[in-house]
Amino acid sequence: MTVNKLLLSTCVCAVPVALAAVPPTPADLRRDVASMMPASTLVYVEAPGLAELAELGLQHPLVATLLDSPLGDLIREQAKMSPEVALGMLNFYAGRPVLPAVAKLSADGVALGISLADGEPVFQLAARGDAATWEEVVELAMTKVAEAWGLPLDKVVPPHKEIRGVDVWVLGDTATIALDDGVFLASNREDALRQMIDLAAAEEAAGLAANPRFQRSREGRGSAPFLWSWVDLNGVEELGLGDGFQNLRAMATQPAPHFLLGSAIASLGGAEELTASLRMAGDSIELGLRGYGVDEGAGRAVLQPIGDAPPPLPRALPDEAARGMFYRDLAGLFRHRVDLFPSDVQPKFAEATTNLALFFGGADLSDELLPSLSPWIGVIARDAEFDEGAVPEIPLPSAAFLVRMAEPEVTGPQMVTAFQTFVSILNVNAAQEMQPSMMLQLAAHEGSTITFARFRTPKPDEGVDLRYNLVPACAQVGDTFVLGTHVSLVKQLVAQLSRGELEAAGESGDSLVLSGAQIAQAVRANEDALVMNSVLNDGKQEQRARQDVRGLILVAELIERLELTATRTAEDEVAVTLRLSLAVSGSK
Amino acid sequence: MSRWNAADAAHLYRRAGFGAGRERIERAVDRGRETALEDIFSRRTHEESLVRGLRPLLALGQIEVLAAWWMNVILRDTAPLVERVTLMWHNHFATSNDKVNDVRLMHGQIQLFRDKGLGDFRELLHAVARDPAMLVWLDGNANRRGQPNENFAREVLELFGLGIGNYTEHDIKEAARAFSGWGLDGRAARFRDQYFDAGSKEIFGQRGNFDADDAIDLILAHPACARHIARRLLTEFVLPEPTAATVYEWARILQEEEWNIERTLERLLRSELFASPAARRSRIAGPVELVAITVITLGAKVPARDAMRGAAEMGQSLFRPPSVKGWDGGRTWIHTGSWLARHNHLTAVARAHGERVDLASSYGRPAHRGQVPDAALALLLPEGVDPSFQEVLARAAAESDDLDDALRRVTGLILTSPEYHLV
Repeated sequence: MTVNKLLLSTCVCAVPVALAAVPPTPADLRRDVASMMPASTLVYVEAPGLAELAELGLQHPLVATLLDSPLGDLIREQAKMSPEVALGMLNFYAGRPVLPAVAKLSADGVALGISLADGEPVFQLAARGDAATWEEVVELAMTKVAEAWGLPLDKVVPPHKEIRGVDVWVLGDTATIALDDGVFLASNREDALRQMIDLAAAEEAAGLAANPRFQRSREGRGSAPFLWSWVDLNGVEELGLGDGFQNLRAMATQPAPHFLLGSAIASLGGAEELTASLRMAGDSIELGLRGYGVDEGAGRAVLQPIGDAPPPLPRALPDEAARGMFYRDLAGLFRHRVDLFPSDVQPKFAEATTNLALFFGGADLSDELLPSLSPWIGVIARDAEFDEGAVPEIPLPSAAFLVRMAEPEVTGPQMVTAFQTFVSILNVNAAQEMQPSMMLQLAAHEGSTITFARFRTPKPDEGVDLRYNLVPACAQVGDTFVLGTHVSLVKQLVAQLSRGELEAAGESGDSLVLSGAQIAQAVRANEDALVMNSVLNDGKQEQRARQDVRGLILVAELIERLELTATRTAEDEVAVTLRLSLAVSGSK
Repeated sequence: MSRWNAADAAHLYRRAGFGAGRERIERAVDRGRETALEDIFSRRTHEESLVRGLRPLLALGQIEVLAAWWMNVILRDTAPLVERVTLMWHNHFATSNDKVNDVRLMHGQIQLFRDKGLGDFRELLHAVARDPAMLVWLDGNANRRGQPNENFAREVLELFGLGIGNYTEHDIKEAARAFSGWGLDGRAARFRDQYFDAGSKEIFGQRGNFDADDAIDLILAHPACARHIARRLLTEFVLPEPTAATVYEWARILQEEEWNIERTLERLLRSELFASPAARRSRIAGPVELVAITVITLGAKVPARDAMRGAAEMGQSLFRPPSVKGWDGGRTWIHTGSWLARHNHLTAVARAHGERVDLASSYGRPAHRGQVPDAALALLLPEGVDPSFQEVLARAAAESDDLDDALRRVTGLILTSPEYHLV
């Protein structure tokens, strides 16, 4: 007899004692599933959209869109069966249609909570649904358990005990479950199950649902998502999740992540509570992260309140791979460097200030240059137009940065000087390494002067290296300075800025929009390189590597648009949203 | 020469290629020596996808990527003799990207060895003299009338063509003048008449208005040249220290075969000398061949970049020989640092059983732990080993937890034994 069987037998035998010890008190379990979780819950996950997804099954708009796309074909090919067949097999093994049953079981909510007891994680599950279906499922499950463990059905299938009038089954030391009128509760500890039953029997909403911090977070989840989760980050720290988690927490108080990732994303780890939601519609998937009780500590000094709305950007063109607007208060970083960085880093700031002054014609970085630049930095990436004979064998999209200047007549020439000096220094370095240098040139375009640098056009059969993606250029149009990796993009942007072909850059906060079609195109253009890279690095067979890359292309093609926004929604709240809009037209 | 068994077949595949797995060895034993030779000489083409995939990689301009690609070509084992000869010429005409600093030029040179390495050596030497990577490496592009640069002339006499003691300083100076005028136009070699020293030169006592081709012809006509190349073939394919008489004999054969490397090698690999006990396990394996032989023999799935880096840690970075002399090889391959690297790399291969390699399959699926030592030795050291080492292997197998553990332990012991590092 295994340990589990022994424990089960023991528990089954103990049922009469338990029944005698606890007077039956019928519990009203018809309430919010969150109220059945204890207030000490650290992680809470609910799936309000599960019932709908299960009910619609393969007819769910998003599922149908995915399956009807070339990506769906690839999935079928890899799985070597259609989803219909797979579902049929699942139904056969379960002895009933699975998805309709799941829809009925979770019709009124399903949630999982994780808390900590005696240093060990406690899992608690609560679900509300159709009473008859739950009874059938529990009976079926207990029958399977009895068969698997070789125990008599009459000892296992009937309830093992009652707690407050609720039927309870105890499966050794691994699980306890309770069922009452369509409410299903389960936990890996019996005391935790009892706690859930007690909470469910309370007259007022209790448990986690009564936690004001949880309430505030839950109110912010908006219209019912498919999946929503809440994490008490302070509490989770007790789980000892290691360096990765600690680094995430520390990001909120470190200036570097604030400037690399933006204050909203960097602050997420410093929140008291973090929520995540997943929404699915017919042609879009949205992942949202919200941090509540954000405290950046020292980082706050550099987080100057975002005052003005972001300036407009040149209007999007069809071949645009990406556009974004980022708020980075570089002047603030320099201004508060003594408070923000340790003393051993301070000399590096002084060194950087001196060295960079050489690029900017002697201008002081912290006092003159940075304060005159807007904290809003626009980024646009589009296909580059390469000269004949200079199309790189690995073509990459070009990217440009746009920034407004407070004193364009002073700062503009300083920026152009810095560009020219930088190219000259690169050339000196290249000459020392016997590598080709770049030639600086000027071009008049739409009333502006574009400064750019290019390598000589390669001779036929010489090969066009990766470096030919780089034809760096800069230009000033009014109060906007444009710096790009390829002169063709800078020319486009100069023309748009000159003609006033602009559009709003989005809400107040960091935003980034990527085009799946353009990413797919870039991947496709470099398919052979990616395949060979995978073969050499991962040891994959060429066919497998190519399959993987083509899968990546299909995924990218399916994403019409990927939008990332990161904003501060309140004094101590940040929200990061990732929205994928699927290319429905790209489906078959 | 009538004897032909698994040890003979393994010896042939290790020297003419980079080893062979159990099935290929068994097939070779069944079908005979001639079939094995035909197998080695007939496999000459690379997979089309490998060739196609190289083009964009070259554009990256990273020599590590090219080195990994070459290692992958070697590990695919579709043209073993071609790659073995290419590696030999890479060491003979040792050129480093540390100075050339151009991945496409380095690839061009290796491709030259791949294309002409088994052909007429005279053609190869002429081509090397105007190879763009070589022009950068030995400053041929700076060798101009009135300002001769002797680097290429010195090395073509000392290392590439004749060997020390067969020329004078005067020959070097005069040959340098003959090589003047060549340079690079972009990535292509170009002869620039205005930089060529058209005056009369005296090389090996002969006087004339020699140019680069004339100088190469004079080197090839020198009796020491055939001996120098014969010695290179013998040390690479047969034994590390051939006698003078052997070198003379194979120099004669090389010329008899009109400097054709493939035909000379065919005769060499069929020779009594090649099959003799003196030739067996007489060379210390270089890192690239050690890594490649291990992967191919065991049928392991080691990513090319890992294999390439493993060889580099042992002291052989492809495209980065330490000097124009190439890698010294022989006993210099082994020192405390490189031995540790060899030990670590090969132990990791043995430990990868179940992930990157199926040792049970490699050895013909031994039924139980006790069969593992013999099965592993039959593949990895078919010449046999000392009874005391057999005992060690038997004990390791007996003390192992299970069959998989036995496979890992025994393989690790064999791969890190001194005998295994001799090829």
